[in-house]
Amino acid sequence: MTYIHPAYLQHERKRFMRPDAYRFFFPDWRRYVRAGQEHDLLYRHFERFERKYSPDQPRVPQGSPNGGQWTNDGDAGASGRNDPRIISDTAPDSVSPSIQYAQNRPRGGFASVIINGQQVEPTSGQQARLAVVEAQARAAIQHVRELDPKWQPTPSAYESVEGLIGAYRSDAQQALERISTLQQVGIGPGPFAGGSIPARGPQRDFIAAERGAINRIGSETGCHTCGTMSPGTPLENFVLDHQPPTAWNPLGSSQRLYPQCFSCSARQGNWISRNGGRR
Amino acid sequence: MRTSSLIRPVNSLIFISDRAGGRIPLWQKSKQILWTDSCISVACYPEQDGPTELSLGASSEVDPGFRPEFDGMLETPNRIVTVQDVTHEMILSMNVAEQLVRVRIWLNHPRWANRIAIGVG
Repeated sequence: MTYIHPAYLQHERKRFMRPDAYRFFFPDWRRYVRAGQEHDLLYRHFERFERKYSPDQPRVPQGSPNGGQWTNDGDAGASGRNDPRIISDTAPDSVSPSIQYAQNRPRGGFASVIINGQQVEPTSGQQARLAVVEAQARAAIQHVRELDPKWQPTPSAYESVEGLIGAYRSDAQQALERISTLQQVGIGPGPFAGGSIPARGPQRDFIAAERGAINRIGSETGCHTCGTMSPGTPLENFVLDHQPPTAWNPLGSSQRLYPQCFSCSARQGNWISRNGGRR
Repeated sequence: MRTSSLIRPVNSLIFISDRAGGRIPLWQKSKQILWTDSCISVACYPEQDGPTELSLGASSEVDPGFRPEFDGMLETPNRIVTVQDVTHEMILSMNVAEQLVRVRIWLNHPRWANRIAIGVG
């Protein structure tokens, strides 16, 4: 049997107790196991973890009070740590950003949630608030991931239903702050965005009609990022800014052109380059 | 050997660094040239208003005869100085002898330069 240092095992246990533990778990982990290691502690540890997040894990049948919730093999009544926000069993990169947070939604609504291993039944008022804040958090995170697919909120610890509501609120707040940060550096249509025109593609061989349209929109609503009415260029032409930026369009979304001032354009380019925009 | 190119870079920005890139300087409003030990960023003529003529070569070859806007040292661990755009597409490059080279940059206008000369050594 392979010797595994107890301190390392303890570290692994702690790591996989984190609310975002699924990030450390790969569905093909068996590839890295040599023959004969099936009885190792670490192997069994991973096996338990796999069962915990397996889509094939049995659920409590419909009709019972806990209907639809995950349960242990052959033991529908046992309770374990069951963070209702984390059910995904796949690495984040393999999941479409638009559905990833949806997968984390609790099964069977909020009639009951399990917090720190204890089944808790929220009041009807709490259930309604949970549904609202979860939907808000999901929508905000989906918005961020359209521009930054790898972003995820820092998980919050909670020990009560009110804490869970607070955790969802925190997720939504973090997402809104991230959107604001991205907008400030020119990623995504900015807070001053008025009109826009469709981009023919990522190329920058703009025609006179496009330049004219962007200058007209710019003269009415200003730079979409900072709102200034002056393009800040020698010929007073606004920059025709692709959104999402060509170098920062992870989902290959269709692009539109917005007026941007010279200063915000330079700031956008600096940020994209520093953050590893398309190579 | 001097090389040159007529460009309209995205975001009107270029970066001068080693082939492997460098630590890109933080953006500052109204600063035409920003730098770290391993990367220099230069704002070009606004792309939608016109092209910028870019030259890269030994200082003695590209020196236009007036005071450079930038005169400093650049780390070049791979001994190749490159000019890249914001997407890290290489525009110009030049082999150098040292891993730390002197770089001088001449602009033909203090704010709206459409001729930029980059001299090495």
